[in-house]
Amino acid sequence: MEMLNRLQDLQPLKLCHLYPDLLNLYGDIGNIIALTQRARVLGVSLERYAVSMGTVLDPEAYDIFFIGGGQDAQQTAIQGDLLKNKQGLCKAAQQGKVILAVCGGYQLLGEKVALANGSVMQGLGILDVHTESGRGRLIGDTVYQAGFLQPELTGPADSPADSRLLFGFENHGSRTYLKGRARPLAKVLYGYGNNGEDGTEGACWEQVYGTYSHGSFLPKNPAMTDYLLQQAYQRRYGRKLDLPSADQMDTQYENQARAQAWQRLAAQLGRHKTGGQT
Amino acid sequence: MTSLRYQLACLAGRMIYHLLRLSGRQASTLPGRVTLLLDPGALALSAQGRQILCVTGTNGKTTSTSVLARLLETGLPKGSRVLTNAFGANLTSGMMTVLLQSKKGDYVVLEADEAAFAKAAASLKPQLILVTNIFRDQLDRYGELDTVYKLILNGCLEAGQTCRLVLGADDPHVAAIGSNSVHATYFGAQDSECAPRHQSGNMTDAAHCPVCGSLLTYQGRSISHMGIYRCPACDFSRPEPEYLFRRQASAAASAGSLELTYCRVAGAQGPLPLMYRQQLTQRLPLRLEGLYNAYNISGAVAAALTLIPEMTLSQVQGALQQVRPSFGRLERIRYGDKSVCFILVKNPTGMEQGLRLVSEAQDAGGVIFFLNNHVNDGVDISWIWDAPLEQVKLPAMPVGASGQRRADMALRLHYALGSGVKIEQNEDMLALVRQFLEQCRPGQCLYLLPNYTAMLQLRQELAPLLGYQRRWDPKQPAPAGADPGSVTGAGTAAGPQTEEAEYGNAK
Repeated sequence: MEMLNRLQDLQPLKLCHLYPDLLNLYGDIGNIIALTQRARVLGVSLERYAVSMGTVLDPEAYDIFFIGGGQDAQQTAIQGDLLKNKQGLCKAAQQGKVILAVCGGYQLLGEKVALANGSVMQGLGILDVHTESGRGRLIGDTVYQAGFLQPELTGPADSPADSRLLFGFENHGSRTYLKGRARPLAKVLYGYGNNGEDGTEGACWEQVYGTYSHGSFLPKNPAMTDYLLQQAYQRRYGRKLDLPSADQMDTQYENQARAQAWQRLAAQLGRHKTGGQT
Repeated sequence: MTSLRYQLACLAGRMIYHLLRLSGRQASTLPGRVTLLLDPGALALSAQGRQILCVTGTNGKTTSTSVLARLLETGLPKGSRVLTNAFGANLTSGMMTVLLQSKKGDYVVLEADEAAFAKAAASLKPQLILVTNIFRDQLDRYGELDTVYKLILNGCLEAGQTCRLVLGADDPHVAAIGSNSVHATYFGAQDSECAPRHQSGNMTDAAHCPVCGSLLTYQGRSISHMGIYRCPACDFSRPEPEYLFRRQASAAASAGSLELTYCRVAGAQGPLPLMYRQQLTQRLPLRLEGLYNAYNISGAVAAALTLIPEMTLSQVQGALQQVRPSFGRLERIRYGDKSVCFILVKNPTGMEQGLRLVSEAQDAGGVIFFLNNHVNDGVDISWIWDAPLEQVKLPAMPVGASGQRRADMALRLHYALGSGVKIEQNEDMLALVRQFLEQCRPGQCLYLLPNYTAMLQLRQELAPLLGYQRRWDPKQPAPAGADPGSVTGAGTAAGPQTEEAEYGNAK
């Protein structure tokens, strides 16, 4: 194992944070902090790079890409720059590189995004989704179920110990709709998800993942974080990542936060039930 | 003439006010809420004949409001009355409650929540609006940063052509509010207060041009996105401030003094071209620590001098001499041979600065974070990830987390401080504080870092331990930077329904 670690250190996984200075609404940086932390726990060497406006992106140089959310003004500001890198990013996606995009970043991975002011922005077209503006913002705590994450054996299904459950918080005015190759990232158990209508949340294709779970999505979902790191590791080194033993996984604090989120939602649901009309 | 409906609504409000006061409660929102329920037009009618001044923005509203009120009390002719909404009751209900007690000719300084301000400005027709800054704070309540900017901008436009604007030049969004007004006065920090860095330590502090959306470039930054900036794409840049401040350190333990450079424009209407102005540099007492407070005081002085140009230097100095640290801002309370220190942290910058202060304190015997996500705090707590806690090297000491979202806080601290530091979690604030105080050695201080409603709850729960008054004394300053929302907001989460709950006095 030590030997393996040393080998991995020679060629670390490279994480590219796109437009961290422009797309950074609602604690998006938490996802980078989480990837860094979990990489440390899993014994994976990870280097972080920030790439922003005016830099020609070399998709070959990175293993994981992250794009956060922004306000309409910032999304418009980066659009031209992003489209210049369209080919590179599409190629990275086709090669099975990991791309995680949150909220506004997720919308930009789609084909087009209708803004609140009526104009339509071209997206990267990596995910078969399109985004429309809607009336009223969809705001609140969320719980989703992502089938591709294995349920952890240590706890019962449909409990905070079930690692398929993703906990988050959403805050978006736009609605996103899936078609074609795009598969939902998860099923909505609580909250609105993509559009508040079809019970889907986020989208994925190959190793490209988009979600409305804004800001600090990964910290409370270490199984998702680990999964992304494993995918990137496998693609880069051509073999599966050996996970540490269960007692070395260091998920105590994450699990406490998940358990508390679960209790909070249970209390909210209880109030709704006894609240009469709603 | 006022309608019978209006008079009845005011009568009802005043009766409720007196009843609440008789029963020993704080009557800072309910009377106004009832009045507005009975007559929604009451705000506009009751503002007529008063000199209304509004203070809005994200941080520093409460401090700026109280300093401005002090300045007006000193600077206005004898017999003038100055009223203000204490306790941070800064929604329309709170403003209405103050107006109920006002008479024609009174000066009313209203701290206004950003959204409430946008709604109320047209009715209030303020003479002057002071805008402090626009930070990411409570974003789940208001949506996006640009939305807050637009709320405040619209409020300023609604206030009418003659309204004076006093704006923080160093905050790009606040500065942009004044670009279409001939009545804008700017205050800002001297170059020496702005570190010469284009990139801040925190990538999320990047700021965008409010006009074209491009990334702004900085000659220097003071706090987060505030500083001396310029847009590389369009011609937007930091306006030249009429009031420029610089802090002067002092050898004594006090906060030192504030050197304010400004222009005497007595008798002139509106800003004069710079070349005609007589530049003055004055040294003013600074009773509050920190760069934030230097901004707050400079803004308040700029507003007071804009309204009362004939105010003398000694009057300004006299008023500032009386300023006391507000509740919850580095407030120390003795506990036997140990002490506790409260530091209110309610946004990323505040949280990082709070932890940094603890890391540099010689007497730190422990630190506890208290994180609630009551609607008054903002339901979304994602902002704790924007706080660059990784940059702080905390010496070994007990670290704890409490409050509604203690597990999220503990997770944030775990990621920042590493696996070697155990984060003690306890729902029971009092028990956790007791436990940590026991671990403190004599002479040490336990640092308590709550967000807004957690502060209220903590004060309540620690009262028996530390032996201070449970209820706030209305003569004391209200909490600095308090942004309590209340039930007039959207009905999404359970908001406080009673006077007591709003101020954390009821369990």
